[in-house]
Amino acid sequence: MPPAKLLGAQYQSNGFYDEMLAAPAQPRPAYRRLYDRLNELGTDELAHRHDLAMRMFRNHGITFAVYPDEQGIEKVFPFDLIPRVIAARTWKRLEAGLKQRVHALNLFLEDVYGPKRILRQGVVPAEIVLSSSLYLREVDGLPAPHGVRCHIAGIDLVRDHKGEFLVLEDNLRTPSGVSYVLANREVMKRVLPSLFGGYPVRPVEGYCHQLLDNLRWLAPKDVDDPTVVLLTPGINNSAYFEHLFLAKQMGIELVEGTDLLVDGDRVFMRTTKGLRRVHVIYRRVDDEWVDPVFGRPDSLVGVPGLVHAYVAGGVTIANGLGTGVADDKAVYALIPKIIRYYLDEEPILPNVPTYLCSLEADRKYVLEHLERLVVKAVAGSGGYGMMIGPEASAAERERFRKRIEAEPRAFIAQPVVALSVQPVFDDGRLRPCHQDLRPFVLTGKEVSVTPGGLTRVALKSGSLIVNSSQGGGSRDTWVLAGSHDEDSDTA
Amino acid sequence: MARLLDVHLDLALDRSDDPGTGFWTEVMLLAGWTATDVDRREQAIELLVGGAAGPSVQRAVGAARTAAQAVRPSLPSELYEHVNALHWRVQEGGWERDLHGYLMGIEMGVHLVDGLVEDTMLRDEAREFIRLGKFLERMDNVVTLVAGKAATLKDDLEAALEWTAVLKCAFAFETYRARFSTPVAAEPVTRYLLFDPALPRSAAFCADLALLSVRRIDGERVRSRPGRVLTRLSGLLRDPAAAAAGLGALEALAAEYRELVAQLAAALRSSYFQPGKVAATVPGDPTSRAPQQ
Repeated sequence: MPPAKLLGAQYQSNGFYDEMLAAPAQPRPAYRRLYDRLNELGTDELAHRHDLAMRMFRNHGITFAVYPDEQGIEKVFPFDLIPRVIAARTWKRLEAGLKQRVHALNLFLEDVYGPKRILRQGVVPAEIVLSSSLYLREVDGLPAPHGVRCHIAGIDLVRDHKGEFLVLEDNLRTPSGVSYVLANREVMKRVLPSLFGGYPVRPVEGYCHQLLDNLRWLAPKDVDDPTVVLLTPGINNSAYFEHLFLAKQMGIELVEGTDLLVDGDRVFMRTTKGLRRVHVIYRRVDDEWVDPVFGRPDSLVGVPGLVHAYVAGGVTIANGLGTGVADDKAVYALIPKIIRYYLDEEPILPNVPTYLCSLEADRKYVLEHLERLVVKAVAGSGGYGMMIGPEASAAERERFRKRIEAEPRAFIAQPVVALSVQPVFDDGRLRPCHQDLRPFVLTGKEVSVTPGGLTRVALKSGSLIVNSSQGGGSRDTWVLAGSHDEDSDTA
Repeated sequence: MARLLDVHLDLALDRSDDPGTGFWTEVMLLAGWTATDVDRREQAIELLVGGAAGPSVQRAVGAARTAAQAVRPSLPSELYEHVNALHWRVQEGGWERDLHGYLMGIEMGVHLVDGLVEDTMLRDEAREFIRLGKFLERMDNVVTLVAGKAATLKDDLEAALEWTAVLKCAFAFETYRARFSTPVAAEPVTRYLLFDPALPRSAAFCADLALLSVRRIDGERVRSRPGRVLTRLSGLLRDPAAAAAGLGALEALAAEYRELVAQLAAALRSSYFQPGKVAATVPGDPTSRAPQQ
């Protein structure tokens, strides 16, 4: 008996833009072969492969912890076997847009921590930028090595009801998720190698090589063989697996705050053989926790005196301190202007329309239309501190109304984007789930984008929240190489 | 632990008489349970496989995984993944259907860990710390087993079976047979397991290898406190007079051994596991890259 068809007419995209199917049983060109192969495999075989994949994730210790879980139980990041396919032509435009955006953001950071031309000329309101809780006066006037402050960026993209890619938010502090990009590919290659046949999928392994090259490039010129370390908050951090993974892939030491000490302007790593000078720190600790002398005095994960050494030029920290000002969600709304100002180009990738609650007219609109909007805290992340108007209760909307009125600068609002969907294999059947894409952009001598990125999937039925901390999962993301007969992912 | 249980399950069936109510109690004591009134086979199996209140197979593998997590940056990915997979396999259970298969799976899993350490790790401090821990634990297990059995076994017809089991617990039965033509008995087995420097499971061999690891960690010119205590331990287990003294002197030897092991534990803690004590003026060694953990 042939295997049961997976994607028959019973699958419905519920009116959302479906990245895989233009209509029931009609795959888009880039998905045709994949569609056929999935149907050939059938539900039982896919269920078996899914079990294998999850076992592989578990055994390899590819897990994360969710903070509200006081038991600290590690969880396997839910994974969907059906890859997302991005045609070469589509990727080319995305890549250009991402490079443009991150390049402009680095110029912006160098400016706002330097001469502040963009603020003096009134291109963007100085009060929005300088009032950001993520703007660090301590690094104002401090030159960045090679003029680069944001070395690693994760830019969140979504596709709307027409399939157009929009930037949803920028992550310029300590963006996470790249380890899952690499792990997902590894697992896919082992569990479903047959799916790759005929698809020129671009590899993702180059990420760690590029990152290490960039980090070494940041070391002082007179150091031939710099010591680069990755600073982690420790084993209880939700992204610890990623810290460990990246450190091992790059062959650098994974250190905690207690492994480092500052002597004068220099930073040292304690080793069993004594102290070893550290030149570059890839930190996965947020600004406020990185140094108890500078930020939160109760920080146990930081290094006392580290900011002093950084300001004195004794060590390079990547990402640089203070990069968060450029991913403040209020500053996000200004990025099209920022791109035009520094690059004299039109943004390739549009933003989601955004209302700044600090502006009176915007605030009035937001308060009158709370039931239609998504309200986000400007410094929030991880899907926390936000309200999705159409899903919120009247009491929740009222709570947000009061918060916005009390602290308008702290909130922005956006219309609900009808995020695109793609089938997820779940419990022997396929159902549509919303997804986003977080490509990772590295800045060294040049700006580079790893092909693909982390596709995060909102696995809860009907949910728009893709964050792993709130029930999201992920899938492999295939960027196709060159010109291909299926080089289109639209109908 | 898995080997101890597996061998004693066999032994209980090999004896011509009923092993008696004390048999499983003694096995529990050998496994490290300090106070137990267990005297039934099923009870002992359940506790030794999955007991939470004392040493058990599942707890031991869980502890190994926790330790591996703590030093995961220093371990090859394949090694960590194997320990992790072993942990999940052990926690899933399934021993009720095939206890011997379950225990053998663990024993072979542990051998694979050993192989991965030897075949994939750099010859550096991380490997030496793993070896130090391995040989100290093995030494202690052997001394506990031999001293415990010697204190309880009577010189009766079934004693040969019991001492055969002791050898099997230490994976030493076949080498004993190949090496000695004498019957399996308390005196030669004790001498073999404690003092023979050629047997990789003997206490003397383990003490020598642990000392070697300490010397490699310390470097050529340093004589640390752990090194000094281990030198005395190694001397005790290489003393021809002690080896010749026989079972009568075993109790005194075990007491001296315990005293030295206590000193060693304190020395290891103070020498290697207090990174705050590293002086800021110690010059860095350009060849060393391992951070203290």
